Amino acid sequence: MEWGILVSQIKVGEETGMEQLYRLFSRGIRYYLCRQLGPQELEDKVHDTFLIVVNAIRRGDLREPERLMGFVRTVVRRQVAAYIEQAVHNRREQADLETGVTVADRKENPEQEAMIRQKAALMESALSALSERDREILVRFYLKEQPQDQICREMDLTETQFRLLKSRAKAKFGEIGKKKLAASGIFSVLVRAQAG
Amino acid sequence: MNEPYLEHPSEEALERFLLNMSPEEELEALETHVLACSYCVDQLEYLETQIAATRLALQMLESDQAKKKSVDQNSSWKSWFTIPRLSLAGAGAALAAGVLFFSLPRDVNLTAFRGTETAIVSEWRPLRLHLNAKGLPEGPILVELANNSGSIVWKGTSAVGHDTVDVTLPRITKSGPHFLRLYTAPQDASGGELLREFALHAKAVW
Repeated sequence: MEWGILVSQIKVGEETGMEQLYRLFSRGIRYYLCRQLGPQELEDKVHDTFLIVVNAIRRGDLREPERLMGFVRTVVRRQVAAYIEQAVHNRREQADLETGVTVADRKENPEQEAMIRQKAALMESALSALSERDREILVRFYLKEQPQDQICREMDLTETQFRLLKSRAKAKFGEIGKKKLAASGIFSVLVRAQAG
Repeated sequence: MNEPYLEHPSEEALERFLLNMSPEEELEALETHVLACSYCVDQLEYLETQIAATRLALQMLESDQAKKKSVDQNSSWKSWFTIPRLSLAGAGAALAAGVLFFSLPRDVNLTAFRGTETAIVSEWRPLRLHLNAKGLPEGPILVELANNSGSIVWKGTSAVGHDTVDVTLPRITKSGPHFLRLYTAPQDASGGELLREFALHAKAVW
């Protein structure tokens, strides 16, 4: 990617540059904002972020075009911080009027939720086939969210052993799970969901 | 292309990102890359579903195991209550009660001298006799139990105290009249002097 050309196009207000910028970053920015702030008013937030990036480029705030990716990240992070700050401020202001507090809804949509549930049910039988030690690694990492170094220390594992055991455990239940998932038709749901 | 954010992050790194476990340096490179990489966003979405399903499966498994453990604990004592075990336990309890019953001494107060009145005592049970010793000097004595034919079936010692002599007899295994005699403690080879004699009749009395 020639960042210099792209930045120049945006600076002069060329539509191709704007389109390319949007094509490049819209998916990532949408994902990032949704992950941090939830799906509420997501499109507005994505749009606001683009506006800020474009205006900053036009003003000449981005001096090194090859730093565009890092620049976008900085803007997005600032946006997230600003939205959170605003939400905190709003909550304080509205505390007298509202009894409840608005929090970002990070719940999956119903289709995704159903898919996860079905997947989990199939995974459960696959996981039960794992050895006690392999399962403990997965429980510690995914369920208890223990950091890798803590797991290694407490289970007397090297970093390589941890990675190997975890990937082996995942591959094992992935193999069993895949067969069952294929048989249940969940893969087609997954494909549809991702395409949508 | 030396910039770390231009390369696709590993699956491990993407997982760490989703679990909020990325170190600061890795996070910077990863976020910068992901914002401009649809492929990695796809990967992240897939992994997100995968992690959510794994967590749910692990939770279900953990809860199943906890339930199973509690059922096992419950059933381990419940499973004991089977008909053969209960029958055996019942028989054991009855036997233990019987043994206890026959091993506990029965208290008998003998106040009458040998005469027309004869105390009835339980056969096959140890007896704790409280004998009337009014008028007898306090001190050690010899005790003998003789059967109806005059044979001595038991000998022992006791003491007179507070006008009473307490004697614990072993089981009398033959029913019929028996005589309990109290003697002074022997001073020489000739033996002690007969102080009193009590009559008792051993019978199957529960």
